[in-house]
Amino acid sequence: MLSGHRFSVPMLPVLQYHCGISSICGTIFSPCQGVRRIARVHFCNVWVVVCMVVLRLQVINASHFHFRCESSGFFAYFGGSTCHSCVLLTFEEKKRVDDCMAEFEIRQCGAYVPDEKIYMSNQTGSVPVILLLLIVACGASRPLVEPLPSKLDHGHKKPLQTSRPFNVAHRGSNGEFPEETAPAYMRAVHEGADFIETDILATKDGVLICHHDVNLDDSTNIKDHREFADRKRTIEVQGVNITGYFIVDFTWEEIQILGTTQRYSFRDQQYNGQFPIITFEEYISIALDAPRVVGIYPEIKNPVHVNDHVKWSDGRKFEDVFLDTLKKYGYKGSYLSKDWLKKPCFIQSFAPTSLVYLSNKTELPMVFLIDDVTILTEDTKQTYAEITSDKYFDYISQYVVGIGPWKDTIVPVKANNHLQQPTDLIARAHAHNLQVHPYTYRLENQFLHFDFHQDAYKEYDYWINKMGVDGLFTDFTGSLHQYQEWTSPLPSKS
Amino acid sequence: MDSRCVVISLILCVLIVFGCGEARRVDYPLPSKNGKGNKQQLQITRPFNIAHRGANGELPEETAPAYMRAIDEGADFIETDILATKDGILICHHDVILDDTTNIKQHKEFAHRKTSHVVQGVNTTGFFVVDFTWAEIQTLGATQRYLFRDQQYNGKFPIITFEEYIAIALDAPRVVGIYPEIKNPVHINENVKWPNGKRFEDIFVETLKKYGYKGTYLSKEWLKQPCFVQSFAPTSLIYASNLTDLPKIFLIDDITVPTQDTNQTFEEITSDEYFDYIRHYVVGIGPWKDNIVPVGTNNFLELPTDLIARAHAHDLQVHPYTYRNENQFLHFDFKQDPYNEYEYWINTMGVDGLFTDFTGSLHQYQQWASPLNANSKSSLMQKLAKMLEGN
Repeated sequence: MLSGHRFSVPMLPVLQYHCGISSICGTIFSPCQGVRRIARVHFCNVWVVVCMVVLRLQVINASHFHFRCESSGFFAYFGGSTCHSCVLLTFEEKKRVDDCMAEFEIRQCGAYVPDEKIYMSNQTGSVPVILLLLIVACGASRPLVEPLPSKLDHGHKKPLQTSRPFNVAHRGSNGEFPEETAPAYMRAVHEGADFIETDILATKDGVLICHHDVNLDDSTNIKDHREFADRKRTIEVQGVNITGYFIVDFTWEEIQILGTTQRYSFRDQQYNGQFPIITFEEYISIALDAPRVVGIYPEIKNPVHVNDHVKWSDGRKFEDVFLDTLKKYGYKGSYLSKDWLKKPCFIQSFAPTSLVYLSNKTELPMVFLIDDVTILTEDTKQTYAEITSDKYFDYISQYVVGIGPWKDTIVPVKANNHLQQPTDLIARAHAHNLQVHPYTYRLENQFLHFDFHQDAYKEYDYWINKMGVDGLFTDFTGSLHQYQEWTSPLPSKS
Repeated sequence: MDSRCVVISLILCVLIVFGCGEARRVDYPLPSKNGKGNKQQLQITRPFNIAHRGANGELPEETAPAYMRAIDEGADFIETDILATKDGILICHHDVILDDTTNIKQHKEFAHRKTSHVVQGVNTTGFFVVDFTWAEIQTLGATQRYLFRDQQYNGKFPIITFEEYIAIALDAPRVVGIYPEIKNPVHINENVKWPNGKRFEDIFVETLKKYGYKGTYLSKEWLKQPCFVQSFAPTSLIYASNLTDLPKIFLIDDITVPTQDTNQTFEEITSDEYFDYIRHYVVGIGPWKDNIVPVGTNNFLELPTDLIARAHAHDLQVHPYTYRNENQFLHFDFKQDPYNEYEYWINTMGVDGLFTDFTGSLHQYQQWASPLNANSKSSLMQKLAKMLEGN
């Protein structure tokens, strides 16, 4: 049908996708093209619109022509040259994609400008032909590509629970996997996390990635990469001289070569070096792809440090790029609004000015993180005493919905590893209508104070029932989930 | 007249003395115990929660507070190891030496007692329980064996006797069983002698009988005062089985350690043939859990052996030791969560009892996962409701 007849079609953005897990991008075949093997098809925007109207494709994001073919449930979109996330392909779809990618040697996510034009019929009936193609293809694809049941109707995803404290998977299930990797996040989703949490930093070329430390030494195999040996240097970060390999000195392409490692020697080491660092967008795709509503909880990490070292060509700051990424994926709405409940998101940071800056540009709820009693805020150099005062709560509660303090500052610990009397931090925060999400709850006995008898479930009980927190950052989301299911199960019918 | 008075008063004195010595005063119920025997019964519908050396995750092992805490936390049984002092007093203590669990090293007056014995083929140096009288032992303070556990009670609590331990169990507000071990009987009998040619095992059983412990497993008497007698030494158990019908548990050490009395290997004492033999004397076995399911060098479990299946086939209960909360004792399959380990051993491996250092956590797990009132009216309604919802 298509061979032989030529006419030129303007060069247009190509369907691109990015499979979140494998970090591979490339052209895809929308099932709407059907089973014929067609080389990259360029759609004129008009045709797309018409097609979408005719086929009743849902518009997810008009500016990027996100659409979903109803019959196959397959997502795709037109975008610029950047890569976006997609939902899981069926096995057949993935095979076709793989074949296509192998043939056209598609490897890297990034600007991809095809240099071939597609040859389509210039018959009068070209539009209908295309439409027919699409219609036929959409219809014909059904028998060969079964729609994923979980992706048919997103309106019926199990919603976020809001009746008990949030289970926030701190850096994913990093008790079991290297932190902030795709498996860590996927495991956390599987184990019942309400939110998956991450720390966003920026590479030398401005790509936002998920990584906690400003340096790569403790959570990657950078030291095995002799080719980068000369990048080691010393930077002052928050008043402390740190020596190591800094993310801001590496391009995203270089970062992708590294393998993550398990930070703690007493945790499972078997995955060291096996999983890459992922981007902010990959992390988002994992959340969006979950079979139930899973919220995200990204941190604007070390913004002073990042803005010192990374510049974006369009004059945007780190915080702008951060927020633009969220907006790109449709994250919006104030806490508990309808929009928010579909895509829950808390923005967190230790730097109050970053939160205040963004509060003008989004309604998404924010959480102000509070470090140990001796640490000053990175941007405003304020003390713990100051930022936890009633006066400060009065001020910051205009911008944030909650605080995230280190739990041992809420209830200090004696030298003999028993708890002291609790401070009134939670009470005062609550009085200012601020949620409290302390960090970080871990299972290993070295992190458990003796009051809890080396039993993390007793620690959950204390913090949830006695101290009344509103959320918990935990390295072991599965255990917290188990505790909550046993002691405060959700009503079986919502 | 006078001589008769003298004789009568002499007879009366003798009677009084004799009577006071032999006869008891009238028994009246203690005000705190007027439950008229309505103590909450031992649960027998789910695996036994055995407080290994008491709640020694929190308090120094085998002390009164450790046992009382264990009872408070819901233990079905409190477990102990019985050794004998130089003068034949039965005490609760695990090690044959005092070095790791008492402040003996601070007692300079005993410094010269340090010596070496060969115990189970191993040359051991230290301060041996069998070299101290009970009076001397009483001056020591118990310490927490593990550095990573709470050290604040070090030196504060004494070592207790077998009888004190029994008293704690009998005094509990609900029925709490005891689980004493005839510990290192070969070593004890070599070093401690009792009058009338009695052996360690004799004194051990006599103590139990003194407090009314008797009856076969699940008999009426047994349920009132539950008791398992345990030992690594099969001949001690067989000897004891002639003295009491209380149920016994045969403990099995690591695969490299032969039995101290019969010098038999792990392989031999876990063979079907041996189970056929020993089942006439014991109701169960107590193996080390990492022998039932070996562990790889990467700290993940390997495939389970068939030890439990074969034991069960011989009608032998299985009570593995020892379950601990600290992550260094948890294999990675359990994701550092002791509750996952309980779940595995109770639901997947099907054990009949668990020796744990953290009886509170095991109790919590069992209450959540297999609450005892499963047949109560309210839970029945819940079950019906679930059925209607299509769960």
